[in-house]
Amino acid sequence: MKTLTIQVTVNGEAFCKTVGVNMTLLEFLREELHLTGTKLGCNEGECGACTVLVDGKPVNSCLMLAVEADGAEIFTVEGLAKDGTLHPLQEAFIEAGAVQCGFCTPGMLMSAKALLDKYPKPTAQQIRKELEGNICRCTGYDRIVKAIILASEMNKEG
Amino acid sequence: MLPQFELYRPTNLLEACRLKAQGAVVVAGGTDVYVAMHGGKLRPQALVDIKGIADMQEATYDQNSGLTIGALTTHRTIEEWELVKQKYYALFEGCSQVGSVQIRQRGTIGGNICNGAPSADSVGPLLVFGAECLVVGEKGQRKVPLAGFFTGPKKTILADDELLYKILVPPPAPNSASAYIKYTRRRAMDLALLGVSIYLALDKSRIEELRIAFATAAPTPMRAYQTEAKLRGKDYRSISLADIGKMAAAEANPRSSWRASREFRLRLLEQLVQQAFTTALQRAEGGDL
Amino acid sequence: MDLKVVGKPVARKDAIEKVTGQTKFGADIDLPGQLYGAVCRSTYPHATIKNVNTEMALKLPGVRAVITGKDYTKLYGQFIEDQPVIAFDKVRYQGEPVALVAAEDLLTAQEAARLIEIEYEPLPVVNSIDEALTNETLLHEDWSKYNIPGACHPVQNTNIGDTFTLRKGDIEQGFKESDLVVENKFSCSMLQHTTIETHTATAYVNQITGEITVYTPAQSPFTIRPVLAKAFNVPLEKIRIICTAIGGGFGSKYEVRAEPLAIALALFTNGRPVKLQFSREEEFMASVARAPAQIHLKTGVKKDGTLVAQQVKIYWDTGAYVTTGPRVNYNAGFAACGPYKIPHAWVDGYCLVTNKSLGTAYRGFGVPEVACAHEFQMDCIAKELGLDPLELRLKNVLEEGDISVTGEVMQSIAVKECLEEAAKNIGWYDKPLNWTTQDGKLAGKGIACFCKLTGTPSTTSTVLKLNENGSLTIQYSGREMGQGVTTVIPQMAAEALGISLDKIHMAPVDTAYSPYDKTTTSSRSTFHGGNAVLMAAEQIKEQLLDLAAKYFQVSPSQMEYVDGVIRCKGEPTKAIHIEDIEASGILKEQPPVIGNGTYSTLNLYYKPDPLTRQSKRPTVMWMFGAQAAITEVDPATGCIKLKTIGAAHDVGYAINPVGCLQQIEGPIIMGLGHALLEEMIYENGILRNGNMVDYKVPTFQDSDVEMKITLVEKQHPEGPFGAKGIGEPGICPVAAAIVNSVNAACEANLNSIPIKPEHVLFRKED
Ligand SMILES: Cc1cc2nc3c(=O)[nH]c(=O)nc-3n(C[C@H](O)[C@H](O)[C@H](O)COP(=O)(O)OP(=O)(O)OC[C@H]3O[C@@H](n4cnc5c(N)ncnc54)[C@H](O)[C@@H]3O)c2cc1C
Ligand code: FES
Ligand code: FES
Repeated sequence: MKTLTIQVTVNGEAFCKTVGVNMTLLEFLREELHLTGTKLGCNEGECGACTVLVDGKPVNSCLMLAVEADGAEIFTVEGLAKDGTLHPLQEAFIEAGAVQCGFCTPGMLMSAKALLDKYPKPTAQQIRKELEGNICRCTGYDRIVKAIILASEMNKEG
Repeated sequence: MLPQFELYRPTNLLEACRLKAQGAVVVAGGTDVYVAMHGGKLRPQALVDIKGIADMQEATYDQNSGLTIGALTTHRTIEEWELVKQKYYALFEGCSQVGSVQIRQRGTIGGNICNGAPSADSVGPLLVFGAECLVVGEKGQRKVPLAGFFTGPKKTILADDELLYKILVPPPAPNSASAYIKYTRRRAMDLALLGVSIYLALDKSRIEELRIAFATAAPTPMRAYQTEAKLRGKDYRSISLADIGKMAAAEANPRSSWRASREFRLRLLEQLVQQAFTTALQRAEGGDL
Repeated sequence: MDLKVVGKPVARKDAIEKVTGQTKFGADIDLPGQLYGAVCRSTYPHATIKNVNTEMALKLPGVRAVITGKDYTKLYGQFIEDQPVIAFDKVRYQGEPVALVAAEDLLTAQEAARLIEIEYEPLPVVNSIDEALTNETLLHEDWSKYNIPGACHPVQNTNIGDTFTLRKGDIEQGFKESDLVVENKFSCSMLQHTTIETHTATAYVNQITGEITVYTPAQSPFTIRPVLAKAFNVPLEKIRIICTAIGGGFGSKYEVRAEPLAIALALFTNGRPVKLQFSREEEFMASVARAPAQIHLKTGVKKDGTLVAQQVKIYWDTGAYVTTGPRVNYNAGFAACGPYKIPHAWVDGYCLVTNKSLGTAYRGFGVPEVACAHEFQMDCIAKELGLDPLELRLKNVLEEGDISVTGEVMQSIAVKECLEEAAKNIGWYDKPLNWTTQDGKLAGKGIACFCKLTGTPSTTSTVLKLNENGSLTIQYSGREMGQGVTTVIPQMAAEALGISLDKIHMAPVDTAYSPYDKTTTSSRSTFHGGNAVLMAAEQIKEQLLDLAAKYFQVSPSQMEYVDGVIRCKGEPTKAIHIEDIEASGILKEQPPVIGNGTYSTLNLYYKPDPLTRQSKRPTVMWMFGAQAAITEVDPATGCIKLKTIGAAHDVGYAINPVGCLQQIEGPIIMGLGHALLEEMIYENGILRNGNMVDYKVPTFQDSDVEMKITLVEKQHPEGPFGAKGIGEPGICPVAAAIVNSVNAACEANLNSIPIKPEHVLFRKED
């Protein structure tokens, strides 16, 4: 098959689309759904800018076919803030100064979300390990570590 | 955009073998395949995605037969599997250091093996645990020791119609321990410039069994059989660490490239063998792992 | 002065957009009817192009345009016009564009690019500085054919694309007067900015009017506008640059890269926009880089450590085209002797062209490289004389009133304080130069300082528009690329006008309406933009005072503006707070309240003598700082771990202290990459490691470094609130300090970066 109709849920909304089998999940999100928050940095799994959650797990959306997401729940940076309120991670990133150019930020937030789902009270070491696939060229990472710890101390979101 | 291809997603193993025999490229986690396709190095007419084959996903442990790992088991699954940490620590060390969480979430152990890279992180540990490959083709299945699986860089014994189905890893001896040391320039997201795996079973201070494997020290992952044989049965207190390092390094055949010189790799190998040996020894004597 | 907004740590104004994924970066722009561009790039580093066959590509359904160098033979360049948009007679680096394709979708464009057949005749490859210096193969046979619009000095019949000289005193006499003469060499690898966003541009052209519009994450729209106008032969006003957010700059988005390619295609697509986004591979191979450098130093000192004479020769491997090489050469030339008093100083700098990607602007503009060299040299001298490296530096650093190597009487200078603070931050005084840790690692400490000028003369303009409700819109073209300029500029306006920070907004940057700003480089934005904004704010105040005077029916001289309150002196009831301005009605049916401010450094600039560079004032702002490092080296494996960095930077005045810290922390980790990990490896003109696994920028796991940072605030007399720049200084001494600490740890003289385990184990010294 060269095209396929898929059903996916993205940030809680259901989509049904026919896509080429050679379309990556990243291209699907950015070009089909116009969710451009997820970034393309390398297309080779090396930078983490394209990280999204597929059924709760972080993956490089540049290395996954859109058709492989059929039936899955996708979560992207656009899904973090709800009803006009920032997610604790977003707030913490701002407060701790963990954002500079912001290009790595969406992927970083997704990896951080997966991390907090796994380790609600992570150590700095765990953060560095679980986020090792997200490259940031601006911040030097330290404030990102602090932001995630800060978020873990904030009230858990509902 | 990936170049266009025909995609097959069989749920049946033999169907997958048949498609592969017809020239379709097998894709599991795709962390090697899609990278090669994005870069234009690989332009297959057809892909056969094997993730729909359910029993290739299974991974179980039995105290008599050890681990049976479906080829589709991801590095992340192994990393998070408490039993692996308890009994096959080197395998945990290998799989938990592959790429990143995102890569480990998708990348499979079967893909790691079949990709045939000399740097593959899961292979050295599997080699020292004496793993065997269960290979399935259109005409049936066969068992091949992992040590005989690689025939050259990126080359394996798999025939056109064959898939790696499962990996069988015997249970380690109770008095044993293992270690994997991955040497990289960068502390994450890097391929092994060298890797050393060791499995060590002790009877008090006598080396009952020793297996050593190297990554990126030759065109394929390799075992240091001669060193193993020389040391087997010896009292570890009677041999100097430095000698073990030298002996093992002498079996390797790394090459010089822009990544590192042969000279450097050999020197490093001596050191890493010592470190891996010491680590395994400490773990064995500590009784755990 | 009682300051309310400046000097306080405030959250970035662009943060909410960024954490919600709403910021629009280069590739997030999609225009109706857009086509996708792809580039057919040279597989050879140096070759004559015999033939380009586009027939097959043109036949592919969906292809709308295929163009080659023949379609566009104009050359461009900011300093020297030596570069074709698309190569036509020969290619000079691997990855140079040879043909361009626009198609209905990206895949078709890429497939078409693959179908273009090019016949090359390979030429000998110039791979290194040494090879370039032989002049056996010339990349550019005749420099005199090129137009030279900027300060660029190529040497005919050589591979030298630019030269720089600095002369003070009598160098030979200086060496004679010295007790000791030390000679050394230092080399720096070729680096990539490795911004996570690659170069991208989306362009369209009105075929009738010739107007060209391009969306791009450009750092310096007003620098590239004239370059593009000339390259495409249209008057300036027909180029419109609409700036998108920048996903990391560090100098990489100073040069035009994707823009000319997208525009060239758009000339042939009947008005349809063309979007072009570099892949990571293209980014590595064919965007921009930091030129490798080789620096030779010869230094004469007295026994007591007093510097007498220093001769520096710098060779830049600037790649196939000169691009911004001359500016790097110039800035580094001024900084090459370090922030020291040296009576006799000579510097010679050369930009050499080679068959590699283009060496251009990179955070620090050559200063991190020369700092590595002069600080390595200082440590070698200290070792020879048996002096403490810090003492040697403190003995020689420039202080208030001292004369620099370019003949300037230094003012507002705090190198000494920076050195002392940086040293304190790692506990320098309580530690030996090296020691062995409990687990057998070799540990060492090292320190480094630097000086860097900001480009002068330059001009920045701003327009402040007071909205009807007392909120403020700032039009200013300094580009936000993470360094926080769109936060500090509003902070300063808020302070000046008493408007709360959240009522101040930065307008988007678009050359169609944004006021002129020379460039966002050189750490100049806070200083220049701040001054311009403060001037514009004064105009706003005056206009408001006039309006209020009219309203209160008093003379304007009776009015005053204090902390956002427009009031009649001595009459407390006649007062309006700026935030109540709408309710007050004083703006109703009145002319708009618009202030403009222009800050130019032309008048205080003394053009340096072209040979000696002596000048009373070559720059409006010198930046200084120091960093000290502690590293541990594993003697068995050669692994190097940076443990601690103590930094101290003279920021003049910290408008946003968190912002300043961010601009030091990021560079410390970037500098760690430069010192220990990063290099673009070329073999015979072919890049071997053009991906993000093999080109190793630091990850989370590499960056667990203890950082202690002091902001030294020696207010600059002309800076806004005394502020200076801090965008680049953070990177300048990092690698130098790390190199010195590694050398101290292993008692070695490793003189090239990155220092690799291999070097440590085999004590490889170049
Ligand atoms: C950024 C990045 C970092 C990486 N870091 C590391 C690292 O640190 N260490 C490391 O070892 N690897 C690393 N890799 C490589 C890769 O992730 C691993 O090799 C992974 O295990 C491959 O598994 P996969 O399922 O993704 O394989 P795929 O890409 O799906 O397949 C790999 C190869 O194996 C074949 N294949 C897969 N499964 C089978 C099967 N069951 N039978 C027959 N053939 C099969 C495919 O045809 C293909 O040739 C990295 C990759 C990336 C992109
Ligand atoms: S874009 Fe997917 S990892 Fe870089
Ligand atoms: S903030 Fe710029 S890459 Fe992370």
